[in-house]
Order: sequence, then structure tokens, then C-alpha cells
Amino acid sequence: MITNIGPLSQQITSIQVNFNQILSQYGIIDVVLPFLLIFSLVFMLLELSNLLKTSPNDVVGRKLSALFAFGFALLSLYNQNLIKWLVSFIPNATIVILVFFLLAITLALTNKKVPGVLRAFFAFLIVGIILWLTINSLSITGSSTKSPLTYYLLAEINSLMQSGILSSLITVVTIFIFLILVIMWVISSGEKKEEEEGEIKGPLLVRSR
Amino acid sequence: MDISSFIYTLFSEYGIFTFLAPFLLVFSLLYGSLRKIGLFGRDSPNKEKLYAIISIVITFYYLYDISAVIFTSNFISFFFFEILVIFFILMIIALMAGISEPYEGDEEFQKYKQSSHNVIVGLITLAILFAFLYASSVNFSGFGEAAQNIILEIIVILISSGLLPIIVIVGILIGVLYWLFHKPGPQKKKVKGKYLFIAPAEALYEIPENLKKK
Repeated sequence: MITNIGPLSQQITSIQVNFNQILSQYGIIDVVLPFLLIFSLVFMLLELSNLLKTSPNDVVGRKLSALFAFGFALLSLYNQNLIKWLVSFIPNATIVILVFFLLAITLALTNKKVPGVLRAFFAFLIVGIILWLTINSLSITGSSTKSPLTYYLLAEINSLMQSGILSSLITVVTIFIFLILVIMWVISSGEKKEEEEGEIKGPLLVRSR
Repeated sequence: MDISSFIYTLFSEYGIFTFLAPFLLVFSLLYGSLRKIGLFGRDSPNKEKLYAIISIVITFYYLYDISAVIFTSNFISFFFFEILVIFFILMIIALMAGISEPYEGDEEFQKYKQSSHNVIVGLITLAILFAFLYASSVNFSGFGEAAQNIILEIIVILISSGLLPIIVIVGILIGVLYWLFHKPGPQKKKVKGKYLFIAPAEALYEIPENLKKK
């Protein structure tokens, strides 16, 4: 374990603490930043969709969009959970952006564009990572204590296991499913062979003989 | 007391959260919508004033119910968070689109892509449902507990009444009978596994491209 922290790291720690303190003390993290983020995103979306404008140059519509975004941002701040979610989600998501940006830089070295299949893989990877971060920051979990129903279910399963009904039932069903699968496999492989034999292969002249 | 708590308390005390913010939100929404739709016409400025009066009246009725305001706050805050998540996804996808080349498929691939696009739009609209569920349940642990209880109750009833083995056996029998007596119709087109993987991803890459064009 490192006990002797160098002067530079001590300085960095103290600077970070001061900066964080200032951010939270003056309400920048809790009020100003979320307000700006929410306002700008909602206003941008309204401008993009032209939902409150009668024409593209409608000044009143634009003011109404701004008012809506202002109200939206203020009212969202009322839910303090949102601040927690943002504080937990945004730094991690930013790291993901950085990772993919570095990946883009690395791929640029090869001077070739990423092909279709790999591109699809990246898309799913991005969606998966971001959704995982979202669930983490929301902490969507059930209750930590077991509900009475859980106890009842466990007791029910225990009694069934002890009496041997459950295990025999599972065995019978498993054997039954296995047999059906075997029959289906045997029959389908026969059908495939027939299809293959029926298929026309090779040049037409050779086959016509 | 630090400044952030002070601001929050001040806003709560002076009705910024419970009066001003919801008023601005609902009034601008109603007035803007009425202006845009032009339900009673747009031919005279008097009608615009009438729209404003109607919007103010409805907004005050809405503000009268504080639980509706709290529900709205929970609803829109969660919705915004979902929008932020989509924003991050689109941002990274747009970044990756720059260094990759789109898959050039045949006509069938385009059909797959269109269907995938429709599915993605459907999934995005589910964001509203999730926000509504959150606002209704207020916290996720409560929501999780309720969902857990419903599932467990169904399983317990199935086991204790002895319905579960019967359902399994009947299901297997129906499957076997269907397989035996099912007449194969005209041969359907085979689903291409590769397209099922690439088409949704290409539809995802298309969303930021379409947004840019707007």
C-alpha cells in the first residue's frame, strides 16, 4: 500500500476538492448546469420539430418554444433525483464518447473505413453500453428484502422438491422434450436429403441424360 | 446551508417550482398548440387573444391540482433523462458513422432496414411509457417490488393449483398435433440472418444523418 503521497498528487487532490466544492457550493452542479442542459436540449428539439411555430419565421412561436423550454427546465429541477442521475450518468457516458473517439483515431491509422458488419457490431455495442450505464445510474432494482410472496414461493418449491413431485415432473418433461427433438431432427434431416437429391445441379445438358 | 440548497428552498418557497415553471410549461404548450392548429381560425388578432385567454384558464385549472404538478415534474424529468440517453447514443453513432462505410445491400436489405427503422421509432416512443410509469410509481424500488409481486403471484397460483404441469403437457400436445397436421403452404422467403443483424444497425446510423438534413 502506498502511504507516501507525493506533493504533486497532494496538490492535485486539494485542487480537485476545492473545484468540486465550488461547483456544488454555488449551486452550479445542482441548478445552473442542469438548467442550461435541459433548456438547450428541449429548445433545440422544439426548434427542430417546429411544433409551436405556424411558419419557419414565426417569432411568437420561437418565443413560446423558449418559454416552454424555460418552464420545462425549471420544473425538471424540482425532481432532485434527476440531478443524481445526471451526476452519475454524464461522466461515464463522456468516457464512452472518449473511448469511441480514440477508437476512431486508431482506426484512422489503417486508412480504411470500417466494413458493414463491424459497423453494425459497433452500433449495438454503443447502444448496449449506454443503456447499461443508464440502468446503473437509475439503479433500477427490486426491493432488497424478500416479499412474503417470495417466502411462500420458496416454501412451495421446497415442499414439492421434498415430496419428489417436482423432480419427477421435470424428469418426465425433459425426457418427453428430448424424444420429440430427436424425432424432429431425424425426420427433418431426411427431408433435407430428399430436397438435396431433388435439386438440379451442374450443367443442364449433363443432367438431361 | 450551501447556496444550492438555499436556491432550491427559495424556489420552493416562492412558488417557482409549483406555480411559475408549470404555468410557463402548460401555457406555452396550450397557446402554441392553439395558434398552430388554428382551431377557430387565424383571420383576426382577436382570436389570438381568445386563444391566450383559453390557455390561461386551462393552465390555472391545472395548477389548482398540486399532485398533477408533482406528477408532471417527475414525468418530464425522467423523460428528459431518456432524451439525454438517446442524445448520447446518437452522438457516438454519428461519430462512428464518419469512419465506417454503410452496407450496400439489395432491395430486400432496404426493406429490412425500413422495418428496423419502424421498430426503432416504436421503441423510442416507448420512452413516454417509461416516463409515465416512473411518474406513477415515484421510485424504482417500489415499481420493481410491485412487478416482482405480480410475477410471483402468477407463478405461485400456477404451482399450488397444479395448473403448471397441465399447461406444459397440453402445450406440448398442441405443438405435436400442429406439427403433424400442418400442411406446408407455398414456400416462404428465407429470413437472412445477416440482414437481421446489419439492417437495424444501419437504421440506427441513418437517424443522425436524417437529423442533420433537418
